Amino acid sequence: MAPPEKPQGQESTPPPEKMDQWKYKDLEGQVNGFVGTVQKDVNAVAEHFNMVPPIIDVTKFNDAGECTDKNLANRMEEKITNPATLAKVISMAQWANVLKSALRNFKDNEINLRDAIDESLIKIREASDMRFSREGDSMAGLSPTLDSGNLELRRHEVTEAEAKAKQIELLKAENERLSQGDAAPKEAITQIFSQDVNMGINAKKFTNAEELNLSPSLVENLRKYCQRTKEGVIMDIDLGEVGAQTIDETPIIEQSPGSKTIKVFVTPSKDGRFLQLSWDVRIPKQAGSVPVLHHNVLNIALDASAYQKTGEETSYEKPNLVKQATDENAEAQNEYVEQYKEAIAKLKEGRPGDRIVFQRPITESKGDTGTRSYTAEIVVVKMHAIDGRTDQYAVYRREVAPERTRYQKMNAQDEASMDNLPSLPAGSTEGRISMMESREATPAQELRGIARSYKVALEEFSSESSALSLNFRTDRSRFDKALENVFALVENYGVNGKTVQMLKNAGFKVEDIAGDEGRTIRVAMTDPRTKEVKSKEIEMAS
Amino acid sequence: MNEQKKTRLKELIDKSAALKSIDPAEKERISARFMEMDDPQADAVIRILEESDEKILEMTDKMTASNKKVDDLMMQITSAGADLKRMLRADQENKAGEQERIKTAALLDELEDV
Repeated sequence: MAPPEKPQGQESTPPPEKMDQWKYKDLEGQVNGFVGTVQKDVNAVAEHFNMVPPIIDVTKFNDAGECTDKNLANRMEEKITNPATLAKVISMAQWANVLKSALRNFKDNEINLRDAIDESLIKIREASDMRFSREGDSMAGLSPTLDSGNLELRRHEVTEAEAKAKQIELLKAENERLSQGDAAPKEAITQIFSQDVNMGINAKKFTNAEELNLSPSLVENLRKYCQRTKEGVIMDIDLGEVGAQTIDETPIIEQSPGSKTIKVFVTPSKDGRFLQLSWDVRIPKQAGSVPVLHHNVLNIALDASAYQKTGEETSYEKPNLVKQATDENAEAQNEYVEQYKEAIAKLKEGRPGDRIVFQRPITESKGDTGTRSYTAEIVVVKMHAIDGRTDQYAVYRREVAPERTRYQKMNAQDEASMDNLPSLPAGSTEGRISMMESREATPAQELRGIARSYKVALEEFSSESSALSLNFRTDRSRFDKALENVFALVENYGVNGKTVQMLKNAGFKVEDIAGDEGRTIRVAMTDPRTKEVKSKEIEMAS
Repeated sequence: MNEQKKTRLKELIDKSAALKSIDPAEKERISARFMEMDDPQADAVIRILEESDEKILEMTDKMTASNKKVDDLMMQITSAGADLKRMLRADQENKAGEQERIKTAALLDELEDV
């Protein structure tokens, strides 16, 4: 719907009450309740006409109100002879489906609204963070219009950037309070963890003071606090009502809303140079009693003058487009960000699996021992967007000079896939951005992930019960996208014994067929709804 | 930045839909940074704020419309459910009536036979 006409001179800002409307609607719960009620009513009809079992299942009606189960349709016509009653039963089932469709539409709009707000915030924050000189330099990078290309590029950064900015602000505000008196930093710590849990962000990404952008005075306050506690303390922190969320852990689960208390361990390191905050969140599975442990560690360097990168996430170096201008080595950082932007822009036109390689000099602080410089090779790989909405990119890094090391995946927890990134030909990418040939890589782990996602999509798609549980992620576009991805992967990377087995496990039929030249395979899958066999014949590179 | 732009900027910041969702301290910081800008910079920021809010308004309208559609459907379903129950009751009564009629006819037949 287009925005209503605005009277001349008035703001385009929505009135506050309008903005708040969507926040308080628990539509999903309401619709689930209604669909349940409809099913009860329809069941009552079935019982009335001695049609139990089986009951009349509202999922067996399509959006047009037609009964997709012939046996059921025949029984209904046989038993419910009153045309008005029959029509009413059908319309009830139809409405239940229309309602679910309307709710899906609502959820899409909600996502779009959140995206719009996120994008706006990024733009506004970026504008406010620009370092501009008093001599009249223009604000580099501040586009006067909403450039769609830039927004696309930033979209996959939004959640993390926003969470980080939020945490930084909370910490800064708390720091000011702490600087003025004896207030314990418990509140600041509570806020960090509350944000982390509420937003479903894995705080492992913020493993040091530098990344958190903690001010030296806040670090000093935390150090004093730690000294007071000597051996460290355990805090029970009540996070209050925590909403439903997906935690980025395996297995992925939905957490039920409810009040959560977490234990936070505040411990000084043995040498007294670090303050370690760690916390465990036990998340009950929705349909079982097995708890999933969500464990995070945050190390904060106490030496405010030389922030240390600590812990296991030292290789994490995803460019942060928001705080780029505030870095001390802003020039180098900006150059890196520009390279990264350029890589993403090129990859946008490419296929999943395409990659861009570039190199950059890196100087790392080694604390008391000075600095260490080396050349890093950065690989940005276009990933497979199963949800069909957002492009995803993996970033790898390795040292190429003075020594060559293995690739480290920098923007994901899945470290298992690191080993499978192949070596890149020496000298092929020096000093420039180049698109590598996809055939040079065989990322079996990546293919496995796609096949696993595909299998999940397949199971959800073919599960009748999921239709009633209103799983919005499961739809035809996702199914088709997953299939397309698998075909593209096989075409790009070829298959070996392991990948063939993996595809078979995921429900694919893989067979060798005679080709004109070399080896040709056919990968096929039966669509569970239409029973149509979708296949692709792929000529393998010799 | 001239006073007119400052006023305009302040109005936009106060009413910004995007800024409503952030921490007041951060909003204050952003506001302070914007107020330090020169005219061209302020113009760019004003445009960003206006365009952002327009986009958010558009999305909010869509949300409101789909919200209403779901509400309407729920009302229709509630009404249809009530209709269905009425029909079932009527059918039950008809069945009972029909059984009575059959019993009565049979009784009459018996009586006639007698």
